[in-house]
Amino acid sequence: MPEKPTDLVQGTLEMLVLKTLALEPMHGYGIALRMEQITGGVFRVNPGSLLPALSRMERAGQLNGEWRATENNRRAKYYTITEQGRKALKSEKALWNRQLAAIDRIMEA
Amino acid sequence: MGLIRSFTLGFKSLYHRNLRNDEIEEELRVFLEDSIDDKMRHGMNREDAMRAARAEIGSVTAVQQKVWSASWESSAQMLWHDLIYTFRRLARTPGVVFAVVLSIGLGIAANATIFSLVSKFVLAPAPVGDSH
Repeated sequence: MPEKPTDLVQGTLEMLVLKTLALEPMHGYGIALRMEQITGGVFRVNPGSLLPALSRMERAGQLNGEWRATENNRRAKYYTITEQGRKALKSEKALWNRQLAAIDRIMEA
Repeated sequence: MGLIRSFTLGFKSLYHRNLRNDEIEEELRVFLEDSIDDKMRHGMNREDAMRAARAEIGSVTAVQQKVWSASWESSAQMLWHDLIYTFRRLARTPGVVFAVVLSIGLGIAANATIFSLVSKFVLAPAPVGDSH
């Protein structure tokens, strides 16, 4: 029995979505599934936080949404990362690395 | 550029709120169906898969509300509703409104009159030429 999935670390959802979409355009469930798979089931995002985040990022111009047919013939909104989104990802990643290093130093002290 | 985009998208969704909610509902439906498919592929029967997926996703209305309140136009609409509410309450007590408007109006008028007198007779130099 695998351990129960946890919620994401606060404030990292947008960065993780950007990173996931930087690989290829995906729809909402695809993003959630990919995150769960990559983390080996540690993180699970529910649509209650994913969809608001997607809509916020689309508003901010970091993503482009487009309705398309999925592989099993359903109409889904596919999100593509924009140039602005890539920039945001880069700066968020740099910030995250700094924070991670700082926390690490405290925990190792 | 992001600001303009946010503005136009915001106004669009203010006018077509139902359209936007339908879109969210459709996005959620795909989410649900894909999730059910996935669970069935992992060996759940259809009924259990449906129940589990529904429980994971939760209420459609709640998600719509969350998406809506993440946008600026939700605050704009709230402000608008507050204004409407204010006027409705004021309209219910016309006597008080009348008294308030009258006293503020008289106050401003008295102030302006006195100040124009002071300005003319005290502050400004007398309108006569140099006597030399």
